[in-house]
Amino acid sequence: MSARRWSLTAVVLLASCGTAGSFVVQTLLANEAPDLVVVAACAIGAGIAGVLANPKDWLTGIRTWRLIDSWQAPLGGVLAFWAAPLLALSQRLSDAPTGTETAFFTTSCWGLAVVVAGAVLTRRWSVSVSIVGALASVVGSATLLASWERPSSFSPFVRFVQQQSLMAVAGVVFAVALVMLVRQARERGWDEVLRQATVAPAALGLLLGAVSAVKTPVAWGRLSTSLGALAVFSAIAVFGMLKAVRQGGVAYAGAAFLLVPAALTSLSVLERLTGMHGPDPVRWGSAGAGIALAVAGAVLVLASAAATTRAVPVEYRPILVRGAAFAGTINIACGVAALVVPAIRGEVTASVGEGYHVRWSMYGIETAPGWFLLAASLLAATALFAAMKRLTGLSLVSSAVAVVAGIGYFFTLDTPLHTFTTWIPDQVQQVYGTEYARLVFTPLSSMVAPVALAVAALVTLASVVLSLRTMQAVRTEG
Amino acid sequence: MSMRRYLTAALSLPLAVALAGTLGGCERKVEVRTGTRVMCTYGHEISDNVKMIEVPAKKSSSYKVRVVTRTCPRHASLERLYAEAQAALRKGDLAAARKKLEEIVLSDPSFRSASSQLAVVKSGKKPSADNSRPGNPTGGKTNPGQGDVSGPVGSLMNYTPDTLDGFVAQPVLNDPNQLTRIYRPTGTSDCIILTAVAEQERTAAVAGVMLTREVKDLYPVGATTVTAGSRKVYFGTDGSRYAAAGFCDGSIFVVYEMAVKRGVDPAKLKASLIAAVAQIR
Repeated sequence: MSARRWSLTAVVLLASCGTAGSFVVQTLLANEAPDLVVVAACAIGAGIAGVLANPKDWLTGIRTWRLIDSWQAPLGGVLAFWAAPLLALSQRLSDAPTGTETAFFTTSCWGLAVVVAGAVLTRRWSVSVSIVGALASVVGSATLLASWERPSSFSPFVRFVQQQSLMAVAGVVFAVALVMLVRQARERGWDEVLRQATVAPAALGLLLGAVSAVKTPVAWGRLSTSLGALAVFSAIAVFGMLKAVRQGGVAYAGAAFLLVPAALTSLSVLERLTGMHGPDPVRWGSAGAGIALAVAGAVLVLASAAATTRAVPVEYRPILVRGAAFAGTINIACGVAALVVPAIRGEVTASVGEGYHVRWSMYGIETAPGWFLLAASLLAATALFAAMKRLTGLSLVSSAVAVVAGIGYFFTLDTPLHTFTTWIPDQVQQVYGTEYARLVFTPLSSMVAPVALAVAALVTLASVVLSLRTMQAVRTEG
Repeated sequence: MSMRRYLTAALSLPLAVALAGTLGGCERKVEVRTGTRVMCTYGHEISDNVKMIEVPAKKSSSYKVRVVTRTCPRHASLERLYAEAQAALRKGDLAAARKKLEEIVLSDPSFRSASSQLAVVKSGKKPSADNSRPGNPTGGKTNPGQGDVSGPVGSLMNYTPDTLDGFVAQPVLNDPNQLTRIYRPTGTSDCIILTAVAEQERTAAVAGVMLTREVKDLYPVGATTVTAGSRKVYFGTDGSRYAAAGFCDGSIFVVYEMAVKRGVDPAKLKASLIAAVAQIR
């Protein structure tokens, strides 16, 4: 890997860590201080990032800037670094949605939105592969968050549907704003755009935050450290993200968001290693599978953003091309079938009230194993299609991620993607995990899973063979 | 068809499936336990038609196991005979009382104080009439907290058995993680009442703490550890009216407590208390 790619990877990791830190501090500050004050800290952090990006010419650039002549970049900055965080933060009530759901809808989902926006912006076939990678990463993150504890609080779109939807919409706003900034940068240059896009939200955030702080008393003595830390983490996140976008493309910012749940979980690993920990509620089998797929999917996003099509002296016969297309389609159909067959059985026994005992089947779409099978199928098909396009590197990476998904499937067999339902009585659900209500999930077997895995494995193998054949041909010609 | 279109179709399919599922294609069906379990006031099951049935998920909360407690015909008949025997004893009609008591003992030797009273009558003496109340038929109404042990506390039932030699079991009282059962002694003895409590704790360590706090600390007089059946059991008294035997089975904490008549040393009940504990399977 070249020095540039190492540098880009480091910047992505930096942005991811900054975003993770920002999320943690925002969680501490949510409902402790007015939303406008908290978002002001985020926006000020963005302003600091703008200064750090180009400190030499920053002041000169600000002095010569006329808002009326260039308002698109400031608008994009306000949307990305003030409005989107404010929309997400305003949906956080006291412990609702839960921390796992909030992490999912404000990091992973934002990453998917940004990657999709980047694919639309770039319109290269290889970048559309990044959407598959982002989807795989989202599946991994959802599985990871659903494995943080048992019974898990992760139940997207069961309770607080409006709040979760708006958090996801905030991600779309961020993605659209980022695309605006990239388009502006193509016309005016990155230095000018970065300056304007970070100063505007900082100024607006500072002004409105000050007004809010006057109207609603803030415990500055207790919260100033947290607010300062939030500004620092935001500065790191924004600096890293904008640098990655500038050097590599929008998909890199998406990858940074996709890695955040894994980064948050790494705090728990650090606790274990240093001995500073209490009881361990994490189900490490399925959490490990989730981390692996989340990271592998993000790697595929980065690989697809860097992939280039070049002329190679390999031609495939039409029958092979048609066969590959057919195999890929069958493969994807098997993956989709995994979403609609029962995958996990849930059973609740409760002694609250007059007692309650119920059993039900969860379809693949409600479970981690169902989505892992789909991810494996999609990734295998993507690998094959990339091989047919002679994108050998991308094909091999996609094959590797497909293998990660296929192996990870076996560690997620009893992991549901939602614990709560709308039809089990609340008085039962609120005592899950106590002696008053027992909740058990057991895997269900079906023919779909082994068939889907076998087909995905064959397709992956075919794509690896084709890729190696292409690479061999290139070496021979070279 | 180009690769891009295949990929687009590939991504669209699961999205379409997800949307269809979310927007509610099929109504979910679940299996829920429901039915009626009829328990006798003397602790045994009269009938049980509890089963799992398939219902729409949204209606699952309407289904539950209904527990009805009533006196079974056999025990109702025994209670009638017993009441008649006590009435005869109050009148001084020992012959009539003996006839009734013999009928009762033939059917159920452990029924209340029938055996002990019959023994006294046969010895030529007149036993005192039993003025205690019989088992409490509820006429079909369910008493919350009584009877239904189908939940997580169901496994505690073997620590509060339906029959104990020398005692008559009363209906089980259940809290979410605890069963309590009172046993009345048959025959004359220094024991007034035996109370058995079985409680599910979170861990074995917590059960151990409960044993110390609720038994060893409260009943420290004459403390000793004895073997009852296959278990090591702590025995002690409070020095005045109560004796207790306690043990832990993993995370389950069990204590049997006997109350004695006034003026009697509770340590004298050690043998009968340990014998009762030894009957736990």
